[in-house]
Amino acid sequence: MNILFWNTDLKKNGSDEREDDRKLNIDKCIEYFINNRECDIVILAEYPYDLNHLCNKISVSGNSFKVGKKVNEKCRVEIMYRSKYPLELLADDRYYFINNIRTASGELAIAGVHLPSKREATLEDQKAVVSYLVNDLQDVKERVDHNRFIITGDFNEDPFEINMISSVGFHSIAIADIVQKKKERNVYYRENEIFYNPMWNFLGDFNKPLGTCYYDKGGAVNLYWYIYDQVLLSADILQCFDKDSLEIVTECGGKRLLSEKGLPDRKNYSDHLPVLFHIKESEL
Amino acid sequence: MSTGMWNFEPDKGIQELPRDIVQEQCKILSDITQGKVIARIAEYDGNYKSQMVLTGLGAVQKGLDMLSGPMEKKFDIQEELGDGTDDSKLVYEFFLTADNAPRYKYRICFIYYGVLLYPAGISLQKDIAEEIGSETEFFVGDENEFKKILSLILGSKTLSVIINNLYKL
Repeated sequence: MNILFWNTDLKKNGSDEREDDRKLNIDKCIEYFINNRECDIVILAEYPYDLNHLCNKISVSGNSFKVGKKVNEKCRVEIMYRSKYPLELLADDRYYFINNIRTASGELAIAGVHLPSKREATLEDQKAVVSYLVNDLQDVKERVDHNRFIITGDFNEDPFEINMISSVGFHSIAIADIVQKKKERNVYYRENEIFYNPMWNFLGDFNKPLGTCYYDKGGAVNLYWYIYDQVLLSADILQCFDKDSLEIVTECGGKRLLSEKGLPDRKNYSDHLPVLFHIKESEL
Repeated sequence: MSTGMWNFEPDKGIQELPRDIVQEQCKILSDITQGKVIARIAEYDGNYKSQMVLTGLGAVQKGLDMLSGPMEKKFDIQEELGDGTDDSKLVYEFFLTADNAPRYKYRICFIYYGVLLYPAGISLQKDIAEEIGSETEFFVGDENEFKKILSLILGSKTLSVIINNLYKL
């Protein structure tokens, strides 16, 4: 099962031709990811258009996709999925959803997130939303009969920032072996589940691309490249995660998602790059 | 090692799925309209044939009838065997929409069948049914019959007008 997350940065601006062209480019890319990269689950943030229409267009190629249900109409993140996977909405909020997916070999739950950005929220605000999601994950865990969780999306934080690593946040670390062996960590006499965050491997300049988004924001702290788009995995799904498949996507059907300067091409595509990874269903 | 007792040969007796027959036509329509008109056959999980639906007091009455019904009822084991229940049916909706009218949807019919594929049920939009002289709800017995009725539906004047208008949008 191939899973893609992309913050498309689309805005519905009436009759803005440039925006229409960008939507067309992004739709073509999503079609390409489904037809040629065999994506089964596509999670999108900042895509304010009817995803059913995109599913209808994609169906011509013989790929049957459905749009995940929503209870909260204002949810900032959406999911489309190959029809053969029964999907059940477990929880949603303005900033995230949690769905359970059944496959022939087992079940997994996937949360799609688009958390508040630093431009619109303080750290305390971000903490509040993260705590809502963490609480919902706890509730959901009691309703499903497994502990195979994936959380993916635009977290608006880097892997090393406080909500990503703190035990009261996502409690995610860079080392899969530790997550698999320990599963939980005792913090002040309470067990707290740990998640694996493979996106740590993309930090620094040893590999390209240098992140999933780029902002030259000035100020006292400026990292230029950020990895706000991430994937977190619970211990019980680690054996299904194909590490080599994890990719920050920079190309789509021969078209580069980067500008000539090597930055995300926000003029023609998005200011974020998609993240793609594979889950081995047979190991579920 | 035990000898396999299953009578299964992968390449033997392959029938084309009704869904795939329709899907081919969806692709053809997309090609001849340069993607402007979209026909789609999609999995469907709502009501797909006419039936009595209990509402309001009717549902309450049914509950009361069950309570006051006979103390004994014959249990037929055959009802538990095979795939005769509606849950085991593969149900599809077949509809038209357009690239320039994303919210428009013209539902042509529902198509449903079991794993044996035929007989396959069709619940057809009534204008098309009237035009081609068929019932609105009927079964087709085999692949040939399915292709014949599909050809009548897709070639109908009703659909032709809709497709032409969607193409011009």
